[in-house]
Amino acid sequence: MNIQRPLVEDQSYLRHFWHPVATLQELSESNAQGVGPIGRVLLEEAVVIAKLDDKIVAMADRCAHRFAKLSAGKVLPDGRLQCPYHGWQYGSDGKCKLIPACPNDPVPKKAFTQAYECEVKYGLIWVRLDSSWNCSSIPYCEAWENPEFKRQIIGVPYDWGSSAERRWENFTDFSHFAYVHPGTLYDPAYSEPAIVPIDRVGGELQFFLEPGKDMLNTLPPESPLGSWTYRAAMPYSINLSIRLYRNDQPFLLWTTSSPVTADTCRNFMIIAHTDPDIPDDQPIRFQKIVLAEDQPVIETQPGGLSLDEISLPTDKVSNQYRKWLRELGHAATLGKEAFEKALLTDIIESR
Amino acid sequence: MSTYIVALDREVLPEGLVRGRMDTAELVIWRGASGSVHVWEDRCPHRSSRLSAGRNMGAYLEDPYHGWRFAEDGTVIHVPAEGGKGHPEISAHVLASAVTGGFVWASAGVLETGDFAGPPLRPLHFGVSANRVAAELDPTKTRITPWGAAACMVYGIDPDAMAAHRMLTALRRRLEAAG
Amino acid sequence: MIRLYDYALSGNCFKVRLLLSWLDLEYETRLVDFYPGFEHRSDTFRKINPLGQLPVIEIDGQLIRDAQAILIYLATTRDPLGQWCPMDRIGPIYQWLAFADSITGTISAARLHDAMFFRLDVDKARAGGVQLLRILDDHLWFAEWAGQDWIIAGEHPTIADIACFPYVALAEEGGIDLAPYAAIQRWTDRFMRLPGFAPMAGMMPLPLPKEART
Ligand code: FES
Ligand code: FES
Ligand SMILES: [Fe+2]
Repeated sequence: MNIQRPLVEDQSYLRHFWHPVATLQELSESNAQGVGPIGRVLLEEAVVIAKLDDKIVAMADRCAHRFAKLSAGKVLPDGRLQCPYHGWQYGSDGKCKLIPACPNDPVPKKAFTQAYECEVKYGLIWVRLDSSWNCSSIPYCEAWENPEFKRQIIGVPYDWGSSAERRWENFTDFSHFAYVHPGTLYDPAYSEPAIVPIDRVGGELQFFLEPGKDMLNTLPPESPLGSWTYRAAMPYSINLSIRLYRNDQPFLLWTTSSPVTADTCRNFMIIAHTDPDIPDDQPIRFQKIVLAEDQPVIETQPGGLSLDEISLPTDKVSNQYRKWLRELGHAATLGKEAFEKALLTDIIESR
Repeated sequence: MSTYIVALDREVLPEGLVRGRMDTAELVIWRGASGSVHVWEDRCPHRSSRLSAGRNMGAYLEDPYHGWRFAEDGTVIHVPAEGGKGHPEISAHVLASAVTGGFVWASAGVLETGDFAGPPLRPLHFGVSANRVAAELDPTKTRITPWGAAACMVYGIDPDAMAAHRMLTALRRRLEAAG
Repeated sequence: MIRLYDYALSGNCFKVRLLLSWLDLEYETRLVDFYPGFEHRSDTFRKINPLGQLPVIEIDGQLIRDAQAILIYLATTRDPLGQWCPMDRIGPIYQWLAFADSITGTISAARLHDAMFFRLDVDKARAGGVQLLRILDDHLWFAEWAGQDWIIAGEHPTIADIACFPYVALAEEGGIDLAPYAAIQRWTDRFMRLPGFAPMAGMMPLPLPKEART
């Protein structure tokens, strides 16, 4: 059998990006106090999220003592995270503050668990595993920025048995609509997508697409048919800003995949629109159907992107995405400067 | 590179797509309009989706993701995104295969089918390694195809199909319980 | 008028929709937001079904809960030809309807775990599902050998096929590999080629070429 060569050998560059790991709502519903802890996996690493003294923190989900999972412990009233096994108590900096078995002795220096940078934005909890280079930012989302939007919906995250890269490519793939979404997103009569210019701007891939207007007659009214402007912050975020043909109103589909393992991802979705009277479950329901059409096909793909896959000019978005991932992966092995340059050097094709 | 049985001839129906395995490779097995049986790796050369999730249209196999069409010889004859253009230089991963004795045989290397023929048993999937099953069975009456390291498919011939099937299911129960 | 309490991505609701359409019955739908709204667990819905389960139909002035029960009711009261539930084979039919219930408890549970994050022992659910798939695959293989296409011997498919079909076809959404079950795959293929069959989201492969679906 042919051995498949991976697109990017060393995946550690992904640790330098911000990734969402949970919604604020998940944390607040995790227990009566709404403070966690909750356990998540990000890039194969177990991470615990908790609210300590009103601050949401993320740290390695592993007690320094006997490696018990801190996410199975509890948050104490004084804002410390307590290990479920022998009760070691951790502060928001990840350092152990108290060892119940010997409360009067000084706490050993090595008694800490790795704390990660953690931020809340768009109702989501974001974590950056490696902040040493500090050159990435939380991806752009238009939902609260554009005053035309009257309603923002933060979807319940959903897991897919495919890699975050595959999910990203699927969301931006123009040539699968006719095959995977006939009747929901696209008319089978339109299978030839336009090949559009693609820019790199400030760490985002940006491109614009205008599907045929005549499909308005054949697609369901919930279908977000319009002109589509993509701002896709590397590596896994997509801000799809739509101007609906139906009523010339803006509609936002924002999605970010969080890499759980090399072949599973957790997906976060934000929908924003202009009609405060539409119940939230309506656009969500439509998206659920679309996702149910994609998921079984995408899950047949193996997780890792391969250099041996054959690309055509119509795969331009995927090709440009892969090219950039490869450059980022390689640059990260050279150090901060190279990585920053690979991420933040703009390349404009659209003019 | 061994040659393995990957399906029963009569179970490869026109219009159908049969999923198989051989060592670590996943396979799609299908019968084209010409009547011939094809054994390919179950992976589209475009974006690696599983071809067995697509459609057997007789003259071609259609991929489920972007609808590329693969002719019976494996080459790409239609790319919808390019208005139906063909790409004779692109091909599915085709394996050497042949039909003899009622069985479909395939190999990733040189094909060597044996003279194994007779009334076929119901093929049976075992959740233990091919080696462990092989140690228990009569090699003149069975052929074992590894499905990864911890599973295999057993193909057999026996005039008393029902009795042989019962024997195999009992063996499977015993081996799987032993873990 | 028949009213169906329905959820698009539920295999159990899909069974009922299938039979309703094959029997050419008109009905109205009341959508219940199963996920993410968990509306089936709401107090209002529990008045309709105390078990908090879908589907439910309102028909002939009564509420009928449970997918299998609904299939039996519709097939015995609305199918003048008696094809979907032939009375001379009622024993095996009930047996396979009970089997379909076990499928809901295993394969469908694994899917709820994977696709909608229900908390349950997914390894146990998958192992139970594999045992059922082997039994079904055996049954169908020997049925084919005897010249039969469907779960219950006879020319026409029955509610036993409808009851078993959806969650078997969706098994991979619950992380259960269908590759070992070739007879099951041939049966799902045949089932999806039945005239008037329209797949539910998540089912592959679709039976028809794209041209034919436009
Ligand atoms: S393992 Fe955490 S306190 Fe002992
Ligand atoms: S993955 Fe096969 S056609 Fe694209
Ligand atoms: Fe899609």
